[in-house]
Amino acid sequence: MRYFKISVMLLIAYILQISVFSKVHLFGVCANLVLTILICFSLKEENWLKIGILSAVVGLFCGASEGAAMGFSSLLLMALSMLCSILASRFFKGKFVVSVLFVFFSSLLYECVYYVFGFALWHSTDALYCIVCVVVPSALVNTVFGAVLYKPIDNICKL
Amino acid sequence: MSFFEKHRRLIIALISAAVIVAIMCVSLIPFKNSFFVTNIINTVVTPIQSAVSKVSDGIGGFVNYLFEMKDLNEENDRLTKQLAELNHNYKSAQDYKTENERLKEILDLKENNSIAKDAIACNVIGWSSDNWYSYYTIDKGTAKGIQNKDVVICPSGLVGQVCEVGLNWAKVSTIIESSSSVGAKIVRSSDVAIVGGDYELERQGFCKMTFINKDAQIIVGDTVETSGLGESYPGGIALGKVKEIISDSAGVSQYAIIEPYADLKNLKQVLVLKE
Repeated sequence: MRYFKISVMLLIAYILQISVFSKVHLFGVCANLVLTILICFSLKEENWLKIGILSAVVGLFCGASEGAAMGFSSLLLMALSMLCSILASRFFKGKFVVSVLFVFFSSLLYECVYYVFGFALWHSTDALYCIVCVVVPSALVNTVFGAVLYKPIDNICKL
Repeated sequence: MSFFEKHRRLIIALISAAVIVAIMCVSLIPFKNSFFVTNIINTVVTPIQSAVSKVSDGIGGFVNYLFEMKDLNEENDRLTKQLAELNHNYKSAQDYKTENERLKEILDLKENNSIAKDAIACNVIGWSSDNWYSYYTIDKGTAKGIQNKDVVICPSGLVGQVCEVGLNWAKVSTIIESSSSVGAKIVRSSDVAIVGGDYELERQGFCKMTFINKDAQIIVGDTVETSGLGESYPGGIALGKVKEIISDSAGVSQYAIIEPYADLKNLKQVLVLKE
């Protein structure tokens, strides 16, 4: 039941992501709702395989509306959510601050890898500018969303 | 316990990853229109995206209306005065228009731009959902005759080019996108150059004009249009104006920052020119 609920939540987040949040820029970047929800959920989910596959499927959808190669986001989300799930189930569980920090560092890692392998390989850019003006702000924006969405996701996981 | 049973979850995860890598590799093959998985996903998602986009635009408009309520009365007074002035200007403009039409008839010029004759009007329903690429999703695709590399314009100027197309959707890569490259011409001096994207400028809504002839007499405010060279874009489409000219420290080369005429941040409708 919780997987059904989280899937619905992710579907709504995905639709909002591609139609609303892609236009609304906060601090010059668009928030990645899908990533935030997936990380928050994976921190609560012990079965890393299930969350990994869910992330992969959601990532495929995201890939269809992104600039990088189809499947790139899928692979990245899958790896990140599985990693978060494993780490969370072994070392901590249910701690709000740690979860929010995880969202921050996961977003940072996601944007860095996306920048290096999904963008910088094909475009000449100023790496420092990209990190300071895109990677870090987007991680911060996602963290704020993570803090807001933590409780609703927590409630879904308790079902 | 067999190896598979022992490492079942790891094996399934690895197989899933392999499938995604395979999809990623196939998607990198240059298709005529778009990768079929992308096409299927976007064909299903586009109608929903279109509806949500309309609703969010409506909500956004209402919220803006509430916020701007205080200023509306002041603006109303100002506009009333402006209207009287505009009525006067309109009368003058009508006179000029009549004269202009008469002169055009004499010179036997076509009033309509021939390249826009078969254009397809489309609504912008989405924007790139990552922080790295700059493109739009429009609500028409191959079903309406849109093809890859079709040029996209709006009334004020060039928007970009179709970079991927599906049944009822298409992705439009804008002229400020890092990988874009347009053959351009300065209208006043007829100097040719290349206008392309630059990631830092892209985020500010500008693009970069490079390969400017060192003898080119370019000044701030110059109008830039497509040159038609390179065959990707037809000539004569308004592109933007020169915002700033920057020379390198040695003074050997220069580039210009171009402000596109098209309001790329607030585009709602575009025209796709048939090839």
